[in-house]
Amino acid sequence: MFTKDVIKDVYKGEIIGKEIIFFESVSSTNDKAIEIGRQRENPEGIIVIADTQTHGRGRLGRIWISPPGVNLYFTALLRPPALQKEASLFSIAAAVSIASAIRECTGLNAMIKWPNDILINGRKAGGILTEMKADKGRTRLLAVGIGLNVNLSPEMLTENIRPLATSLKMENGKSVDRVELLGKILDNMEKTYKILLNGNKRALINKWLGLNCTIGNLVTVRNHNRIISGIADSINDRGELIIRLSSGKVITVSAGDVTILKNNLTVKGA
Amino acid sequence: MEFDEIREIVELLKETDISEFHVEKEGMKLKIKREKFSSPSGTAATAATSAADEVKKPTEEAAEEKKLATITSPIVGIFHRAPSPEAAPFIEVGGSIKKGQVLCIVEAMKLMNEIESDTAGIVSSILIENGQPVEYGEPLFLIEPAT
Repeated sequence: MFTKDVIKDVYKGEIIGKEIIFFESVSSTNDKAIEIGRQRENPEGIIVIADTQTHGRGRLGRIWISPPGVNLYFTALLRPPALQKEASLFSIAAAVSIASAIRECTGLNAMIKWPNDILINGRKAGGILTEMKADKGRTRLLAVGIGLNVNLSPEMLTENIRPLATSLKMENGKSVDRVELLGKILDNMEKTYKILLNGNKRALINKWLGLNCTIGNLVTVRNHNRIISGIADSINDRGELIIRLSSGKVITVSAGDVTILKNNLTVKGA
Repeated sequence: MEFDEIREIVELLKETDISEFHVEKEGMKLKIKREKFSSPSGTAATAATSAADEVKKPTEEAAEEKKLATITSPIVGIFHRAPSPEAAPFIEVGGSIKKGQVLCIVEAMKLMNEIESDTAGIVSSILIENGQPVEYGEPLFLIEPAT
């Protein structure tokens, strides 16, 4: 059973998960978490988790399919001190935490597509949408929203998404214990968060590099009407993607939809 | 380009009929679009506007003397004027805004940073085009503060 009490028993971090708030159903865990966070003096580390979302969403208003009883949908509230300029590294840290947890719990070869999509065998199993409510250069609240397809079946997906998406169960053929996986992800999030709080950006970037499937490949990045194609060279200390064009020119990209073109295998995703 | 220079350009434009202005200087591009202040359509609204014209004039003159507030980007990223490609922009030039109202999103590595106005007033200029990259501290909007 996936209940508040079962989840509370599985993990209690020093920071992450100090309070876990469970709902059967919410519009989106990010919306609910932000609503809760704005009412609290210190929302740092609160986890808002739901069994289903009625309006789960991804980047730029895209829909995240969120059926009940099968997946993980949760948001971590953070208030990192004086790190606003590099706040996006917390989104990178979440990807590292999830990919590592999947590997540890299931043995599946989870990879990260820049910046933070979780792929298994080239298909998207998880996404992270981080929202920051900020005012005049002052971090108020960081909501790191995570959607992970755990025991989702293909028929739960819409036809257009089906070729691009997967779940842990679809990949290894057996159900995964959601509570155990959640506990591992939160444990990893606590560790990566502390790495960043200690100012060790390079250690986090190195962990990301060790789990990524983007660097070294030919990629295209689409953002609004602009499309850039080139070799993904590296990421910098802010997590931005460095792309080398065929002309030799080097471009730094901070946002966009990446498509990896590699050995006839095309990996797409939001 | 300094903020004072941008403000000077905006002030100068107000005295002209120019609706769009571009300038490139020291690696920075500035594009200013001016639109008429939006008002409800229809005859009733038109009548109300003309009736209010005489009363409004002193207020408008006073507003032009006011300092414009600048909203800057707190992070490096991509400037989005709307929450999704299909959605209407958060705000338009000439629109009135409240303190705390969301003006745009600056995105970096899928971190969506909602930029809120720290002042109530009227949007005087939108300094960045939709989808363009912005730097840390780069001016995004000029706001004419409400009295």
